[in-house]
Amino acid sequence: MNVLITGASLDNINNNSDMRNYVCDGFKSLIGDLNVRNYPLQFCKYVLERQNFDLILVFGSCMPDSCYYGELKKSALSQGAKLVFWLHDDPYEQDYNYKVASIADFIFSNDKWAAQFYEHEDCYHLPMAASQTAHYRPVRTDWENDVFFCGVAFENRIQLIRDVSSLLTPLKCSIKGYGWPEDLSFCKNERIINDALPDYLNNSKFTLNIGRHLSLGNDRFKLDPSTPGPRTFETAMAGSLQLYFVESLEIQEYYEPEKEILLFDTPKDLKIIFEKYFDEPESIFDLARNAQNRTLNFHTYKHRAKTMLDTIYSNGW
Amino acid sequence: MMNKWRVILLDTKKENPNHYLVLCLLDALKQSPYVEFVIKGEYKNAINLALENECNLFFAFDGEQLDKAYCERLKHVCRTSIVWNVEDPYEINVNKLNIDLFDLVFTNDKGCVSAYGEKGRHLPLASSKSMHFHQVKVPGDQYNYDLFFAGTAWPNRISLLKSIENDLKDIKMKLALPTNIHLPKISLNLPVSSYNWRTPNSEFARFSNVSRVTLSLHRQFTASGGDAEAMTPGPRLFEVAMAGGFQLIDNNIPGVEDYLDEGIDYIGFSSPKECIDKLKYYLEHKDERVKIAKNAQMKVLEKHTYQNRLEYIFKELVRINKKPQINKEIRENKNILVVTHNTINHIPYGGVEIYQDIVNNELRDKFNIYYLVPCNQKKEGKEYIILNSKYIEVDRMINHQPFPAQSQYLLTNSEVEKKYANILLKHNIGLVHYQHFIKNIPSLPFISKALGIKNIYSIHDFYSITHKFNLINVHGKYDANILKNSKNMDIFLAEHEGINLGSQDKRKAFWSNMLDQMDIIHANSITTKDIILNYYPNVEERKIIVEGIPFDGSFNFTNEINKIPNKNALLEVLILGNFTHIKGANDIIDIIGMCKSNNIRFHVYGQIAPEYKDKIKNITSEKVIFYGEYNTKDLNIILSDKHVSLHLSQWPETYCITLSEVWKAGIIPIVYDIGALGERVTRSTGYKVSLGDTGSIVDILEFLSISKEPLKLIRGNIEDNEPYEISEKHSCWLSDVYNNHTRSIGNSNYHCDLDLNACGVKVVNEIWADMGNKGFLRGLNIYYSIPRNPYRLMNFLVLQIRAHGFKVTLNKIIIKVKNRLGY
Repeated sequence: MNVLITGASLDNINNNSDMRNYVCDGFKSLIGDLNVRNYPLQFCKYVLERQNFDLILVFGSCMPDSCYYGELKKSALSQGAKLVFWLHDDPYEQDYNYKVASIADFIFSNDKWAAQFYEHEDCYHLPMAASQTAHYRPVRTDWENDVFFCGVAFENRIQLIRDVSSLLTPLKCSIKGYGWPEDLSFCKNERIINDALPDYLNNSKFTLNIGRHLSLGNDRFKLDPSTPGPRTFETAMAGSLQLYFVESLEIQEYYEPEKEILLFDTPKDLKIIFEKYFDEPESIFDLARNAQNRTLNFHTYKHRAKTMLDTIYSNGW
Repeated sequence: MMNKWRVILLDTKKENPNHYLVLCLLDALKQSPYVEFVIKGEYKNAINLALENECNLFFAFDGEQLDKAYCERLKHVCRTSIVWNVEDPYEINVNKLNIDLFDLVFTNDKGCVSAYGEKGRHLPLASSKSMHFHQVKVPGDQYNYDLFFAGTAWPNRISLLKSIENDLKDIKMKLALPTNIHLPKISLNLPVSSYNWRTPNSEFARFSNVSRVTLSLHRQFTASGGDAEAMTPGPRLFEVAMAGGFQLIDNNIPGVEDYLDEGIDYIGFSSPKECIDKLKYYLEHKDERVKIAKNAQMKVLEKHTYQNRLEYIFKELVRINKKPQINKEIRENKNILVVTHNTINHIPYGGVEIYQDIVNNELRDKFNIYYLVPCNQKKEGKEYIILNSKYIEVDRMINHQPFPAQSQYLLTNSEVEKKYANILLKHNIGLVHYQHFIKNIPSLPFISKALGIKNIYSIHDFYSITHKFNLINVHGKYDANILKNSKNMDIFLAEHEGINLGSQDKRKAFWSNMLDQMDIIHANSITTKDIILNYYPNVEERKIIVEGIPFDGSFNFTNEINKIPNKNALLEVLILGNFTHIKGANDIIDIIGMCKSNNIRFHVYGQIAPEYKDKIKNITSEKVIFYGEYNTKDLNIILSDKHVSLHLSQWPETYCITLSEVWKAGIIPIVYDIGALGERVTRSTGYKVSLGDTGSIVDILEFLSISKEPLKLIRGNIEDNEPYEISEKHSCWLSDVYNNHTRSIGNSNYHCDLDLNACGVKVVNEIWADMGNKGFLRGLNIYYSIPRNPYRLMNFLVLQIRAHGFKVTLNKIIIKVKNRLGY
């Protein structure tokens, strides 16, 4: 089987093109290096002129106005390849999926709830995952940080961090990402490059996991996300214990509370967690290691690649 | 065997956070024994889906934001229609206005039934096993929470929660209180992050399942002028029960006991104190709690699923003698709307307008032809005029605002789209023929398509690829490479207008989607078809029909006019059309200069572009005659006594009517082998040379000036083959196309609120052209606007006048000033 993996938008406007490399590695480890090619969208036509594929996987976000898949569709039809989309920004960009619904043979959505709202008979849920190559770090106990979070400072995240700031201030806490207000002493408006992130995660006793409310194109159904984002799996792979702020219980399908992850609903819950675990490095180590093992066994891009192919095979390929 | 229903299901809300209810209903319809076929539509496609699938039941769900004109069309298609209003009583005042569209009106609220008169039926919402079911937790299972409540932060709810919050301190609680700007600030003594969140309905069910107690509080609020309090509980009563949750319900919620029994299926409370007391009691008495949850779940599985609700709906349809019938599409509709940039009654006009007029003359007895044209006296986008086939104004589309940018840079405009939808309905248009999108917006076909009207698009140039529609670059050359690679197109547009790199990708993506809305794409030549297919590989080839366009054959040509000259007679060469660079003026000047034969005479008809006025003075002689502008009525004279014609367009023409005219007159064409000219002319019907190969043209002319035999041979071939489109044949074809694609769905006096967004097409930016590319290209002096700096202004004027002449430069300045002022 030959698989071509490409981006759903042009790489020069795609902040998440690194994730496609993880997907590519997942497929390579499943079906072999020689059977998988990974090229930016704009170069696919040159590849497709010279090589036939069985599956063309378009990964990413189809929101930009420049997203156009006419050439891919034509090549897929002429080669007899399945044109498959795996969109990773649902439900935040759900309004834009009309662009792929009319041409895709199969669609995979990162979000379980959002997947039900596609106008496509073969739309399935496929959560994001982690890459062992990119994200794995041995679990440790000599952390330099107590609490870490990295992500864009969406309004809901700022609100939560303000609500728990009295708990975080006394700790060695580091919150980084675009837009963080620096009146909070432990926050820094600073982006971390993808390659460096696993080390930050690994070097922290606890990593906060806070979802996102801001949508860019979600007016039609105003959907709320149900599936945890990729950072959940990446953090577990990096060997850090996650403190997951609960807005959906689907997390329990991926990690077992109290064994692989700790859930909290209020600042009071967070306080209880700190009281119980802060001085228990061995317990933290065990939880983090359990989550990492779970990730290695169930939540890598290789597992997702297998799920995708199994789904396609079982639905008429 | 009884016929079954073929259902089109439409969520009437264009933006609906409770669309999951429609999915639940769809799931139930798929399983219903009364239903043979069901499909869920959106405003973008429901009418077409109903037509294609011969649906006989229009099922409107929700009722809120219902587009009355659109739904009236769906009713016309399906004949039988029902609505299930699920926002009563809050939306009752609006919902009552839509009664006439439906045979039955189902309302979620018992108190609203009478408002719908004889058509009214009560139908509470329900639950879906596939979406909400979870096994009831049994003693020993782990719970996440003691108490769960999720619901909008209506003031009465906050008031109750406030009164009990001091008693909830030791309880593991999960609260979701989404709010909005219309609601008072939440006064609970809790961190905002702990209650200001939302969760999907599927997760709501899961939260209910993993909570020992789920609280239900009533809503006492409306923003729509309806009653503030419902008489029937909402869907969550059934959803929590289906999820295996134990419910502690505010007895102020009317109607709960109509569905579940207090003390058996749920526990009620009537005061804050009773709420706290019962909460504490049932947290301690888990066996009783589990038993009640199981009772409720069994009851909703038996009586309160969407299948149960459908059973009632279909029985009520039988009760009013509505039965499924086979529904066939009715085609009879002679109203055709031509969307175009201009008509022949407005000067200046060109080939497209002439073509439209030829079609008008041929078909106006068979069809009611209307034109939608921009009003040139107004700012772009401000007004459009609807003309009848006699070019008399019959209607006007007036918008509040002109376009925010020039139309050529726009993808969408909501106001124009909505107004356009209403024009289509008001005039009961059965088919739209898009002739040109200059000064129009390319989103219009989405609107006509959504209304169930078929679309035809005639491609007369390459505006469908770029607004620089003849594909000539700033250096005056056609470069096919701009069609092969987006970067070349980027450079092309940057050089022309300073449009930023990547902009064209946005236009291309949108237009490719727009072309998908066309039922037929009419290309005038195979070349045009191929260019379109290569640029837009997504376009279905079967949709593109190649059919030439006719010429006005009214001139009185007879073969005797252009007799083959004697061997020593002059070779009379005709050059017909505007004398411009694009039409090959530079090459013609070169050819005239190179021709040494005394046996050749050139006749040049057409307007001379200003930049050539001085140049032609040097070459004008008795053998080179420039006649200037001509009237088409004089064509028979112009075409008389000519033997050869030159057609040296610099761009790939999509057809070229002039070629048809000279052929009809027996004149032998010499053309550049590019576009439709290269395609249409063969070795047996003329001569063709490579673009720019002026030397070969000189050779051919000098050869023909001494050897007239080939002229005779080629003329014979032309007479035998008649390689041109005549109006009778073309009109016959187009008449068939119109007849086969018109639809009659009925006009409407209701207002239609359909725009591109409602058609499910969203763009990040309504303007595709990102301006402001400040010259990275080859160090050229490219001026995208008139410079304000005096030195640069002088430089600009000198360059422009040198390149284009004074008149053209003045015209350009006027246009740019107009654009800057928004005209």
